[in-house]
Amino acid sequence: MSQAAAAVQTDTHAEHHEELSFLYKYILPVDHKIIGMQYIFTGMIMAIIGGYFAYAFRMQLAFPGELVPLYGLVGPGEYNMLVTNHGTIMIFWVAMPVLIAGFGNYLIPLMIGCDDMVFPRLNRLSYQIFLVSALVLIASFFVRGGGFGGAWTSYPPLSSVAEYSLTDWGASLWILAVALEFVSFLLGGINFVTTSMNARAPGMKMLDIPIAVWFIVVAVILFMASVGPLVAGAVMLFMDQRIGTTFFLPSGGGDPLLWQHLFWFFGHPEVYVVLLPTLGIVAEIITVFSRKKLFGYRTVLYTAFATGGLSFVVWAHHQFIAGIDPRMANVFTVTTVLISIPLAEMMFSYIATLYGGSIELKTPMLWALSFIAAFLIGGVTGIYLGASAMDVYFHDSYFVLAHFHYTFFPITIIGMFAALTYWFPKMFGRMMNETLGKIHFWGTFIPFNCIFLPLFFLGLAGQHRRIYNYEHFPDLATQELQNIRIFATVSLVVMLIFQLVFIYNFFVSMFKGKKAPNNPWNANTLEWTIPSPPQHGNFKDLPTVYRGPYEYSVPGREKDYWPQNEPPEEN
Amino acid sequence: MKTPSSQSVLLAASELSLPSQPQRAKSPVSSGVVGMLIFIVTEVMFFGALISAYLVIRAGLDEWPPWGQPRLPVETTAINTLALLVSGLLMLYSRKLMQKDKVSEGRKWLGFSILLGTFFLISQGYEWVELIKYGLTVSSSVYGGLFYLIIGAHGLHIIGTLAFLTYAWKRLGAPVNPLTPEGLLPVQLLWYFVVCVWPVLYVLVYL
Amino acid sequence: MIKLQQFLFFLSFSLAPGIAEACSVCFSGTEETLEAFYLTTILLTLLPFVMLASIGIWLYRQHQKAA
Repeated sequence: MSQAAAAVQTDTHAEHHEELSFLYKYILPVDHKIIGMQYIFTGMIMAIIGGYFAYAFRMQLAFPGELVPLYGLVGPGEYNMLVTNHGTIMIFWVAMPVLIAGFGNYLIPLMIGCDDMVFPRLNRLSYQIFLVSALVLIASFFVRGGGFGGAWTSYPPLSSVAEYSLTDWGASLWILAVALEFVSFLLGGINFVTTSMNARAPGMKMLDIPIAVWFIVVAVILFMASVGPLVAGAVMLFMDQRIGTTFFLPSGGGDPLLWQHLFWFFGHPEVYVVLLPTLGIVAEIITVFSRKKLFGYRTVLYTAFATGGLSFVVWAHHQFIAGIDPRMANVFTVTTVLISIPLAEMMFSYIATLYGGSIELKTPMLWALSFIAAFLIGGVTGIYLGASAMDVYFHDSYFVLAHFHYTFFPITIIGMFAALTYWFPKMFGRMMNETLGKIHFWGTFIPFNCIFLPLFFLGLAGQHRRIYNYEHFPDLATQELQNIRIFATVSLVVMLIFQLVFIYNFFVSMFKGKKAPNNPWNANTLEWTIPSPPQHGNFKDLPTVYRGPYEYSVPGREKDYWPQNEPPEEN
Repeated sequence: MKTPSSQSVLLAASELSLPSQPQRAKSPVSSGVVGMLIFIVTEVMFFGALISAYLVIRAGLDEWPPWGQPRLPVETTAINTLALLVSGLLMLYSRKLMQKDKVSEGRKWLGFSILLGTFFLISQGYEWVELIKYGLTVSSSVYGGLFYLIIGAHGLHIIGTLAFLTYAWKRLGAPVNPLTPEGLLPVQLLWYFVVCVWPVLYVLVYL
Repeated sequence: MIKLQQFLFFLSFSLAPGIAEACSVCFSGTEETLEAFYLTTILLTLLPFVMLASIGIWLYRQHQKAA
C-alpha cells in the first residue's frame, strides 16, 4: 500500500487520484481491480460452500445412512439438494465469477494498458447484482422445503411443479438466482469486449494482445450470444412455477423437451465459456516459466475462434437419449467429435511451447502443467461420450460424471489456483510461500486423481448418477464397488484438508509475505511494468506497446525477456 | 505516435484520468455503440428463443388457437404496427438531421418518434385489458401464456427504451453539458431493434 | 471400381435409421413437433453466426475506413 501511496504522490495528475474513503474504495468501488477481487473473494467463499456440499454427499455415498460429521444425516431429498446446488455453485458461482468476471476485471485493463474499464459504474452494478444473486441462492437453502433438488440442469416437469420437486420456493429462488447472475455477467461482458476493443494502449495491435485477454473476450462473446435462450427459458420456467402457465408441461399443451433445447443451447457454449479463460491463463504461465515464445500465437488464437464457433453446434449431444430425432443425433455426433480438433491443436501448441524451454517448476507452473495433463484425460474421455451410440450406454452414469469433473476441476480449481499463485504478487504486493504452495499443489492434485479415476470404473460398471444410496441395487451394492466409493470419498476428505494449507498460505502471505518486486517472474505483459499492487488508475502514463507479449529468450539480447512497452534499441 | 487526438475514447472513465502524453488512437466506433451492439446480439437470441418456444409448442397442438380462446385483434394491431414502424422511420430522420448539425430540429422529430412509441404502448395496453375481459389470461391456456410472454417481453423492452429515449431527449436540450448526437446513438440503436423485432412477432403471433 | 464404391456409399444411407427403436421416449412427438425442433435448431444455431459475423465485418470495415 505504501508503494502505491508513494506512487500516487509522484503522479503528475495526483489531484485526480485523491484517497477515496473506505466505503467508496472497498464497498462501492468503480476501480476494476477492487471489483475483480470482490468477484474472486465471493467466488472463493462460494467454492467453500460447494466443497462442503460435495463432502456431505460423498460421505453419504461411502457410508450410507450414517451421520456425517459436521453435517448430520443426509436424507434422500437433502441428497438431491446437495448435488444440485454443488453443481450450480461450482459452475455459476465459482467458475464464472472467478475465472471470467474476477480475473477478467483484474487483468483486462492491466494487460491492455488502460486505466479502467470503459463503463466503470456498469461494472460496479454488475458485481452488486452478482452479490444479490449469490445471496438469493444461499437464501434458497433456508426456505420451507429446503433448497432446490432437481439437478443443476433443472429439467421440467420435475422442476416446474412443486408437487413433484417438493421444493416449492427453493426451485423458484434457484431459478431467480441463476437469472440474476446472468444479468450481472451480461453487464460485465459488455464492458470486457468494449474495453479490449476501444481502450488498448497506443501501439497495441490486435495480435499484440495477450492470449489471456483474447480468450476471456472470446469466452464473453460466446456467453453473450448463448445466454439469451436460457434467460428466456428461465423466465418461462419461473412462470410455470409461480403463475400457472404450462410452457413445459405436456398436460397443458407444453413441451418438456423445449426446456432441454433452451438450456443446452446455453449449457454447452458455457463449457467453453469457462474453459477458454483458463486456457488463456495457462498460456501466459507456460510461456513465462519455460522462457519461450508461445508456439504459434495465431494458431492458438484461431483455434479459440474455431472452438467458439463449433461450440454453438454441439449442444444437442446432451440430449441423445432424451427423445431427439436420431438423424439429428448423428449430425451432433459429428460436430462434437469435430470440436476436439481445435482443442487438440491448442494443446499441441502448448506442449510445443514447453519443448526445449528452460522450465522453472514454480507453483504456478506446476498448476499450469497439471491443468494440461488433467484436461487431456477429460477431453479424451469426452470423445467416447460424444459418439451417440456409446452415449446411450454411458448416459447419466458415473462415467459422464468422472468425465466432466476431469474437465471442470482442472478448469475451475486448477485454473483458479494457477492464476491466483501467478498474479498474487501483483494483486497484494507480496510473494506467496513456495514450499507451502508446492505442498498444497501435490496435496490437491494427487487426491483429485484418486477421487475421479475410480469413478470412471464405477460408471463402466453401470452406476447411475443421482442415487443417494446404492444398497437397494443388488448389482451395485457389492463390497468391491463400495470399496471404490469409500476410496474416492477418503481422497476427497484428504484433498479438502489440504486446502487449509492454501488458505493459511494465502492470508499469511497477504500480510506477512516477502515484498514483491514489480516483475517477480520476469514477464513481458504490461501489468508487470507497474508497481505491485498497482495504484488507483493503474498507469502513470499510458504505456506505448512495441511488440507482442511473448518475446522471451530473443537471440542477441542480454535479458531473456522483453517487456511489451520497452522501446526498441536504436540501430 | 502519429494520432494525437484531443478526445479520449473513454466515455465514463474519462473523469478518472486526464489524457497523458502518449495518446490512444481514437476508435472509429464509440464504446457505447460497441456495447449496445453486443447487447442487441443477446436480445436477438432472447427473442429467437421465445420464437422457438412458440413454434415448438404451436406445432405440438392440433388446434391453434385452442378451443374456447378468443382470437387476437389483427386489424387494430396492424395500425399499431404501422405507428411503431413510422416511429422508427422518424428516429432515422432525426438522426439524419442531427448528423447535419440541426440538433434542435432533430430533437423535435425525436420527440414525435417517442410520442408514436408511447401511442403504440398505450394502444397495446388497452388491447390487453380487452383480451383479459374476453377471458384470455396467462394461465387460461398455453396460447394465452405464450401471447403474454412474448408480447409482454416486447412491451417491457418498449417501456425501457422509451424511458431511456425520454431521458436522452431531455438531456439533448439541457443548457449545461448536453448529450451529443453520438451519445444518443446507442439508445437509438436499441429503439431500431425494438421496432424491427415487432413485425416478426406480429406476423408470428397475430396472423 | 469407383462405381462399386459409389454404390456402397449410397447403400450406407439406407442403413441410417429413421427411428431409433431402442429409445423408449422417441415416439412422443408428432411429425410437426419434430419439424419445429429442426427449424428452431437451425434458427438458433445460425443466428449467432450471422450476427457476430456481420458485426465483425462491419467493425472491420469501420476500422479500415478510419485507417
